[in-house]
Formats: sequence, C-alpha cells, structure tokens
Amino acid sequence: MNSDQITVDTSSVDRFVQQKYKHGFVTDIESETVPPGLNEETVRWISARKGEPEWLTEWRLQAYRNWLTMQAPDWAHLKIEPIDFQAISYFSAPKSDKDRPQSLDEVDPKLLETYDKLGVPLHERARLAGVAVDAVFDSVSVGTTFREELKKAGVIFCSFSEAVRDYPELVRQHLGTVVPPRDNFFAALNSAVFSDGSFVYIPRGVRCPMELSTYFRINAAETGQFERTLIIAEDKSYVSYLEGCTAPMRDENQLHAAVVELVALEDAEIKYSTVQNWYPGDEEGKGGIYNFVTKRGMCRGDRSKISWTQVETGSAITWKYPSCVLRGERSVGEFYSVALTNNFQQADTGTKMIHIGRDTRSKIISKGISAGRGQNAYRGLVRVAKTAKNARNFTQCDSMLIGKRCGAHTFPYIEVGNPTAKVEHEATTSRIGEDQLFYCLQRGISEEDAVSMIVDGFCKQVFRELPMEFAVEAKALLEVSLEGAVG
Amino acid sequence: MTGLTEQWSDALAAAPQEPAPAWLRELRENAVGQFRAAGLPHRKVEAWKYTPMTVFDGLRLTAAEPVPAPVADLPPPLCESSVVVDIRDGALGEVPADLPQGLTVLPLATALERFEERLKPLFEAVELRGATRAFAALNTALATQGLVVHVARDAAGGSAAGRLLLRWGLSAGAAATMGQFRLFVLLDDGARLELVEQYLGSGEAPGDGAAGLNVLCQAELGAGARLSHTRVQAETEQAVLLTSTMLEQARDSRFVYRGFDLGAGLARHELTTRLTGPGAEADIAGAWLLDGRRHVDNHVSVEHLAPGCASEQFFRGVLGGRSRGVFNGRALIQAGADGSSVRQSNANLLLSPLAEMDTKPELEIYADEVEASHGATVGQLDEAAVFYLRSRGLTDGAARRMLTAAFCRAVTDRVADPILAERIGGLLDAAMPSGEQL
Repeated sequence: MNSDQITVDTSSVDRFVQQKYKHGFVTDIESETVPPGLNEETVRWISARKGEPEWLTEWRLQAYRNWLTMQAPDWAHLKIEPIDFQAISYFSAPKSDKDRPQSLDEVDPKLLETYDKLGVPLHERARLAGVAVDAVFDSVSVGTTFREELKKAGVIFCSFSEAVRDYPELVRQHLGTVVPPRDNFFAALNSAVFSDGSFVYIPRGVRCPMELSTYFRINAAETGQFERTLIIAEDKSYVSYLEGCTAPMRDENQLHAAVVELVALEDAEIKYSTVQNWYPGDEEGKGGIYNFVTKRGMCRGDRSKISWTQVETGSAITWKYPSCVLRGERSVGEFYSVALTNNFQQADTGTKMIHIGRDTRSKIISKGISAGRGQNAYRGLVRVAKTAKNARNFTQCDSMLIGKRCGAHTFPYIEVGNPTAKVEHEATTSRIGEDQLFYCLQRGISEEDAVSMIVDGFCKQVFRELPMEFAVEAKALLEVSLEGAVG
Repeated sequence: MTGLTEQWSDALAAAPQEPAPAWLRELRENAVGQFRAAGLPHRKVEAWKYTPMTVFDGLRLTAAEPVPAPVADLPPPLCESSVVVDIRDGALGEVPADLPQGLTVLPLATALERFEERLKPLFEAVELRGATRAFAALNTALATQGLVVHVARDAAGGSAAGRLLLRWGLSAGAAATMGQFRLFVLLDDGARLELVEQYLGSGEAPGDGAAGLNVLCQAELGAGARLSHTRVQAETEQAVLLTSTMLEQARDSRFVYRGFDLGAGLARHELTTRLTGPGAEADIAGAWLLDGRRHVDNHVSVEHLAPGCASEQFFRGVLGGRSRGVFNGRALIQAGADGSSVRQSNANLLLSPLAEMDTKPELEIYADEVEASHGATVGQLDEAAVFYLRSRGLTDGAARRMLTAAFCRAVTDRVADPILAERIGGLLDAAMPSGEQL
C-alpha cells in the first residue's frame, strides 16, 4: 500500500500525546525524614530507627562498605545525569507511624484518601476482589488486610520490618541469598539503606488462597525509596504476587532502587506481576522517577517455576532485569514484558535466564513500544552453563515505533556452553502497521481506538499472563500513556 | 596498568620515528599517548568481555622493519588469475608493477605522497581514545608497513577476473612479535574491485611460540562503487590475529563480504560499515568452523545513516573441541534513515560439551519507517535428519558430517565465483570439527 494515499489527521494525536499525568498530586502528610546524605551513621540510624537486631545492622554496614568500592553501571543504553547520592535523603516514614495503626480504621484518613484518588480503596476493593493488600506508603507499611485468612493457611504476608521482628530466623536464612549485597551497585545501596518492603512465606504444600498485592507509592519529595521484598515458596507451594505503583507529580528526579528476591523450592511456583506507572517526567523530560531495580528469582528446587510479568509504562529511567536462576532440574523460568516509553522516557529492561540444572526451560516474550522521544531497549541474557543438559530457551522480542524521534533497541546476550541446549532468539522492529490503521479507520473506528486496538493486540501475549484485575488496569494504563500517539 | 600494557607502552616509547609527513608523526605521537592512557582492553570492557587477553602475553611489540620472506614459502593462491601481493609476518612483499588499467597498488610509504589528500582524513578518522581502541592506537603508532589499493573511476580493479589477492602468512615461533599492518582500499565512483584475502599459514610447520598480527583496513566506496571482499582464515593455533575493517559507503555503492574462519588461536575481526549515501547496500555473510582451543570473535556493525539503504548480516558457526565462538552483530538506523531494511541472522551448532558460543545480535533503531529483524539460535543437528540418513545406510559420523557441511553451505553458496566457492567448501570440509556422539 502506498503510504502517500493515506492522510492521517494528527491533531488528535498531539492532543493525546500532550495528556497530563493523571495521578499527579501530593498528599500533605508530615514525614519524618533524615537529612540528605549517606554515611555509616545514616545506615546505623535507619537500622536503629527500625529496631533491628545487630546482625542486620552489621549486614547493612557491610553492604554499605561494599557499595563504597563500586561504581554506578554505565553499560545501559541510557543517558543519565550523574546522580549525587549525598543529596538524597535515605529514610522517610509517615509521622503517624509512631503509633502504628492496628487496623485500617485507624489508618491516617489522609493516607486512605491518597489511595482513594488512585482508585485503590484499600479495605473495600481489596475485599471485593479477594486481594490482600500490604500498602507501602513511602517507606513504612501501614496496613495489612486478610492477615487472619492467610494465617489460617499458614501463609506469612507482612512488611519486611515485621518479618525481621517476628521471623528473624527465616529472614536471616534467605536474605541476600538470591541477590547478594555486593551483587551490583544499586543492590548494594539497597542492602545498606533498605527501608521496608514485603515478606511472603508459603509453607510446604500450600496453595496461597488469594493473590497477594502491594501498592507502592513514593510520596515525600527528594526521598529515595528502597524496598526490599523477599518471597519464599516452600516445596509444592504456589503464590501469585502483584505489585503496582503510581506516584505524585514532582520536579526533582527521585531515585528508586528496589531489590526483590524470590526463592522457589521443590515443585513450588511463584508468579510475580508488576504494573509500574511512576511519574515519567513532563513533556520536556523534566523530573520523573529514576528506577534502578534488581529482581531475581532462584528456582532452587527441582521442577520449580518462577514467572515474571511486567507492564512498565512509568519512570523517566527504567533499569530493570527480572531474572531467573534455574538451578533445580526441570525448573522453568518465564518473562513476559510490555515496556512503553513516551516523551523523554528511557527504558533499558529485559531479563536474565541462567540455566544451571538439567532439562531447564525458559521463555522470554518482550514487547517494546516507543513513542515521542522515548528510547526503549531490550537487554536480555540467556546463559546455558556446561551443566545444563537439554536446556531450552525461546526468546521473542518485538518493538513497535510510533513517531519519528523515538528509538527501539535490542541487545540480546546468548551464551551457550552445552551442546544439548537449544536456544532461539527472534526479534522484529517496525512502525505501527499503517495498513492495519487504515483498515480500522475505514471501518469507522476512531484513530485512537484503532491504535489502542493494535497496541493491545501487539501486547496480548503478555497481558494474558496477568491476573484478571491487573490486566484491566494494565490495558487502561497503556491507553492513557499512548492514546492517539500516532502521526 | 597491567604488565602487558606497561611493557607495550615502554616498547612504544622506545620505537624510533620513521620518516613520515609531519601530520602523521603528530598523529602517531598522539596514538602512543592514547594507548598509554587507556591501556589494553579487559573483560570489564563490554566489547571485549569474551576475548581472552592472556593470548597476548609473550607477544612483543617491535618497531624494527620486518624482513619480507621469500614468496615460495606461502601456500598456493586460493584463486587464479589474480594480482597477488604477499604479506608475511606483517612485512609487505613485492608489489607487482604490471597492473591492469585503472588499478594502483602501492606500499604505504610511497603512497603517502601521491594520495596524501585522501589518506590524511582517513588516518584522522580513526578513533584512538579508550581501551576499546587500544589496537587501533597501536596500529596508528607503529604501522609503517602498509598497502594502498586504488581503483580509478568506472574501472574494474585487479586482473582479467577483476581480482586482487592478498596472501598473508604468519610464521609461528620465530619472532613472537605483534606485527602491525595498514591497508587502504580506495574505490572511485563506479569502480569495482574483487578483493580476496587468504590467511592460510606460512607453509611452515607450526612452532611453539605465538605470532601476532594487527591489521587495520580502511575502505572508501565512491558512488555506485562495488567491493567484493572474501576472506579465508585458517591460520595455525599459534596465531593471534586482530583485523579491523572500516568502510564508508557512498550513494548506491555495494559491499559484499564473505568471511570464513577455520583457524587461529585467537582471531578477532571487527567489521564496521557506514552507509552514508542513499541506496547503499551491505551484504555481509560469514562462517566459522572451530576445533581445538580456537577462539573466534566476529564483531560486525552496520550503520544506516541515509535513507533507502539495505543491509544483511548472515553468520553460521560450528563449534567443536574446546573452541569458543563470539558473534556481536550490530545494526544502527539513524533518525532520518527511513526506508531502511536490516536483516540479521546467526545460527550455530555446538558439537562438543566443552565448546561455547556467545552471540549478541543488536539492533539500535531511531527511525520508524524501517524493517528490521534479527534471529539467533544455538543448537545441534536435527536427530530426525541424522536418523533419516542412517536409515539410508550412512554411518552416524558420515550423516553428521553431511548435515554439518550442508549447514555451512548456506554461506559458501553465497560466494559468487563457483570455483572459489568450491575451494572454500573443500577447506571447510577438511576443517570440520569432529563432533562427539551426544
């Protein structure tokens, strides 16, 4: 088809591209924040403030000392102004934390209002949807629902601080075993100053009765957020964990460096889903969250399975590679990703599949969408160790370009050291199908609906991996981020 | 600074200044400075993370003029009716005087005067900064040996077959030096050249010590020019071979590359082409068949800087023994280079439990009206196909050899000259790694 024959009205496009961030507001809650800067004293202060045992304080200090010897990675396809780590405040807790609410009724109403604005009425919708929500507001957990119901099943789902207090031996046994404190620059930083996060423990043979969900929200200005999540699935257990986030509008770039560790033992399965919609910066590329995340799952037991699904539409900078270490025989790793960059957003994201055990399998499906001046890179590693007999990997990463000034990049690393392994990688990059658009338009479908349909179809393979409610949210998010961004 | 960097820096400092134009002397001094500042690359340098740097230990840098060896030593030419130039251990042999109309072949020292206007910007265009450019800096600093090939407007270079053969030879053991050689290929508008390079050893029995060679080639293709470049490398396991080819392609020019790596302890080839004019094409294909402890790195980068350009990268690898293959293919489409088409493909067969293949096909795309795709696979022979052949009476070994040969044929079939393709096919068959029963 000759593209000259098609004229597309771009005014609606421009209008939608200009659309403001819908979740931009700041809740006025007094925070208790340490002054900016990082030294051993800060680390000790955070640890003491949280009443941590000595071993954890030492663990943090060791991580901090490691961090001092490391350098921020520069290999990613990202343009980042150097970050002044001394200009960041490393701890912030809502003031009402002093008398921690015992139930949601006692939660600061302003806080609940914030969730309300986000469309997350903690107690009601959570109950209706059968989802337990452990909401992290800045750095401290403020409410957990459904704990009783989970307790009956023997599932532990609580904030990280509570886990350190109530289940120290479990935390100590697993903390840092998947992402060691000196794994990389940002993981080391997180290990030194991590504020809070979630802890999940599924006992042997238990299928978690509901999907577990945490809503994160960055709130106090100029405060980095450093969550630490640890999920342990014992033999023959199953859990599906949902993580989603939105953040208020702000001018300063905010640093976010989380660490997520998953441990799957024999026959266990962990499904980890993320919808990330942090503030991406304005149309000029000013502001926005810097998101440097280390997520890794260890399939420690035979026949275990870890599945990552992510929808990344937010953040000014995304540096994130959810990975699977397939150690157990016949263990399975999966990665499904939709990453969208618009305006001046930059994403360098992908996964690592490390095959160590025999007959291990992995699958990678990545969909990248670039619009505006967005730069979207897939970076993935598939490594088959000498020991991984009959390992199997299939990778497909497709990129869609919408507009003249964006970029789509693919950097797949494939390292194979076993002759019985089969590794396949395929990728395509193309602009949004003009013939498809034309077809929809001449059927009377509006342009933005057509784009939305095409993008939705492009991402379908990933969306169908998301739990139902999340899939709806993800689809809506993509529409908001992209509506009519074609020209 | 590592020991080797230090040692080589000292050798650079001690090297005598060869007579050269002032701008070149200045450039060489600068290169020495850049090398001293950045040092040799190491595993933390992204582009060198898979290259074993230990193979360079024991290799000396020398500024002494290499002595050209007698031609008779080198293996026979891979193809007939060619203008043949021999380069042994980095030393240029005799350059034939009787050349076809339109073709000029000169030693670098002589050519510097005649082609100064064209060579100076080429020399200056080579990035020397940083550890990834250490060998380019070394080459600029030390390569007094070199060759300039020029084909005049609308002329076909080479002999009746339009062909120029460079016959390289590395003799192991004798010198243990890291030789440096510079090659320039200048094609005027509409000019055509078929360049064949053979690295088939020195013809001597391999010695104990290593022999190194660092070749930097720069080529300029004028509008509508055609360069066909075939490179066959089957050096001994003592050889350490670094080659870097950098091309600039003007409007409607066409570059066809066929590269075959069957040997060398370490062979690293960097091939970069910049498609600067609309309608330029790069058709790049290659294969490696490795056995023993060989290590072959192929780094290919195609930059689409103008609209309507097309490129393809097609590579196949077979790895046996304890060999290691590395492929890093990159295709960049600059903003504005609409109508570009990029295809990238790399398939590999792993035949041995100790062999390893690392492949990284990259796409970097800044324009939206493009078609780009890439694929990479690492696997083994189809057992059903092996079974089929065995059911027809072939032995297991013969069946596997036949299928492996067929796998490589995809690349030899792309060599335009059927006679040359047949010879290369023969070399490939001879080099076929002995796969183990899996």
